Amino acid sequence: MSIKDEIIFLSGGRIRDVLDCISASEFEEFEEIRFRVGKPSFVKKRGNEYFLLSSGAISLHQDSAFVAEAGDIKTFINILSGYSLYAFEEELKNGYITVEGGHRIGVSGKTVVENGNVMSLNSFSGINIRISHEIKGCAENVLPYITEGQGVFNTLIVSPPGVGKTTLLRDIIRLLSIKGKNVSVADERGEIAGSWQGKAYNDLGPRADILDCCPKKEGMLMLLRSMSPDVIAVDELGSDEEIKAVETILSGGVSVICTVHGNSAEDALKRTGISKSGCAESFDRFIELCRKGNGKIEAVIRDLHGNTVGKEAIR
Amino acid sequence: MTVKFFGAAAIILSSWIIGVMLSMKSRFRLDDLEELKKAVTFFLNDAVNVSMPLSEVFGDIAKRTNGAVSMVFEDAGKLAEMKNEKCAGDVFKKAVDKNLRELYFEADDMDCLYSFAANLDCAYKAQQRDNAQLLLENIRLIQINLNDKALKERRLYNSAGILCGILTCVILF
Repeated sequence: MSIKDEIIFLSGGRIRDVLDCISASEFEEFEEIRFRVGKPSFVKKRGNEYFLLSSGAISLHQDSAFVAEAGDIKTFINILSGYSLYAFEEELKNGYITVEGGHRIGVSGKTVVENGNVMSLNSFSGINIRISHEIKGCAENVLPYITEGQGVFNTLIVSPPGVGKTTLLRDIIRLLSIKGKNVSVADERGEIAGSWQGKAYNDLGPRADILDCCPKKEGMLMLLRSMSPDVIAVDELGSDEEIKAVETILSGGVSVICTVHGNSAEDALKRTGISKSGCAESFDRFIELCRKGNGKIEAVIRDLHGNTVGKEAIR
Repeated sequence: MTVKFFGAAAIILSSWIIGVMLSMKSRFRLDDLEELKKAVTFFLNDAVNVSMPLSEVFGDIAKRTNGAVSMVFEDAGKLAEMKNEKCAGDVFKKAVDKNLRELYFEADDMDCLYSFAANLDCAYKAQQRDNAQLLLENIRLIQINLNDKALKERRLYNSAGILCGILTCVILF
């Protein structure tokens, strides 16, 4: 099933009609599609932003851009969730829904707060469809830098949002899995495996064990205890609890590969608090992703001391 | 005389059968309500405890229930999978309306069902649970009233059937 078919299958209403006009090949190149109530719609393609027109074409000019109404957004989200928003209660608290194929639908709207905690979202005002791209082989050039003999270095993948951390992590998992490593994946947002109702839609190789929609901290520790992994992979490390869980895993002799938001490894280590934790010096490799011209992504691989050990094109 | 005797017996018998059939109307309604109660209990488990999406919940309920109620949930599951309706409420209402002729439900039951449908579009499991529990409570109350009514109706229609048969015989012969 093409990315277009996956998204069309999940969507509904006027938004589906617009998306249906986009060609399948063009859809493959989209990174994000944004709809906001009463505002023109946008698509992000190869790092550049365009207006999405009512005809399904994209343009640099706003004229005849598709403007979504509140009802369109509500209908879209309703249908996207299979008329079952309650089933996505926990995900909605974090502001997104991950759907079949691993695509993440970010939502904005009015939050419902109870005792200072966000309980849910309603009166939706905008959606951001972040299209998941499975690019098999994109980590082939990077793999030699993060493996040594039979061992796998503890690796931190760093980039700003939307550059391809998850895509790279997914392919690293797949390649390590093919090479004979038991890779356990704590996939809290369901983006790595693209799991839907227990079935993984993305290829993570033959030896990947996936814990879907489980909070990362608990997930990592559960996998450590239950699956005797060689490597544990986790996306978007952030909270102190998650970093403590990583410390536990590292002390257990299991390698960790994780991603984190940031402009550089140094920035990410400081911002997440990894630099203050006991595991800061356990990371042997840092992969910084940056966007080059023409939508190309480059990976700069650094060692523990921040020295560049390689630069490789990802796509 | 023999012909008259058998004719009278046939009239009384058919009149009694009509009475029984009329008294069974509440019985059929009670059966449908009992089946709906079963369906809502499954709904509570599938939707609230297991977090299954509605299309699967409806499909699962259809497999585990019988009669017209099963048909309603089967159609609701199919409609949810087609994704042409705007909300879950519309999906369920459409499925109920499609099977209206097969159901023995009356106005009170339909009100409860439509109210359940209108509240299906909620963002919390707790709301979904409350919605299902409200329907269960409503069904329970209707069943209590209907059980009494069914008992009275059975006596009334059975007796009325036989009496009408006798009266017809007296008038005819």
